[in-house]
Amino acid sequence: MPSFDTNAAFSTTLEQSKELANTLFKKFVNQAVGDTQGFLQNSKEGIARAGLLFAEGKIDRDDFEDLILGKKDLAEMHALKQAGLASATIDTFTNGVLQILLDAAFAAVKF
Amino acid sequence: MRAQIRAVNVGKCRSYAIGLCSFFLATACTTIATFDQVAYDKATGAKAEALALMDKATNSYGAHLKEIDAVSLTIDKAYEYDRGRALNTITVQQWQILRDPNRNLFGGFLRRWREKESLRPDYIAEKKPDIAEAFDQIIGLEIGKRKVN
Repeated sequence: MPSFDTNAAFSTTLEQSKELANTLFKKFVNQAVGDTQGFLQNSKEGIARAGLLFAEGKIDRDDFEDLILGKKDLAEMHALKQAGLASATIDTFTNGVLQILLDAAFAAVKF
Repeated sequence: MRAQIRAVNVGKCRSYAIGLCSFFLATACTTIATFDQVAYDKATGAKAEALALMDKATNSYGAHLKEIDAVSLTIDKAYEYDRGRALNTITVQQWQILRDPNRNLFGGFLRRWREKESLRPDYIAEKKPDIAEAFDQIIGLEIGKRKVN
């Protein structure tokens, strides 16, 4: 007599999904924090160098303004990248949960 | 015997139904494009060409028109390729910032070169890492997209 153990399938899915979320999102947060710190440090150093070049007369006011405004555009691109990576992580999680559900559902079917 | 066969068929149908539901759910739950090797290659190629061109901006803009057009075309192709991909709005927005002549990345660099006829070496040396970083934001996002086998 075939049967399907719904409770087993769902409890397995829930348990494994929690583990997946812990791994995936922790990894994402760590990478995002590291990446952002590196980006801010680079920007800070770049602004300091641009200021010095301007003070020394090696670049004009227009060049200096362009370098500073370029950092603003870069920050926007960086924020977009992080938003995209967050979406990709959510997609990976969703697909992972569906795969877990699928595996658990097949395991719960008794022919 | 007939009952057993029917039971097995019911089980199989259920399995197929679960599989199909998962497939449709996975497709429906996708929020951003998956990794694309062609897009990655186009972006890395465009980066290399753009940075090489920047070194020439100490010379007259007019003397490098052909190279400027060639690099601009490479970037346009990469942008148009990404624009044609579904769920790829974020990457397209990144390209728009990078290409916009009224902003301060590669599009702005070309505009300033054209307006000033040539640019200072210290400015170019300081601007190059920013342009490289801008391309890296596009490339980094592409690498971070989900890989599909």
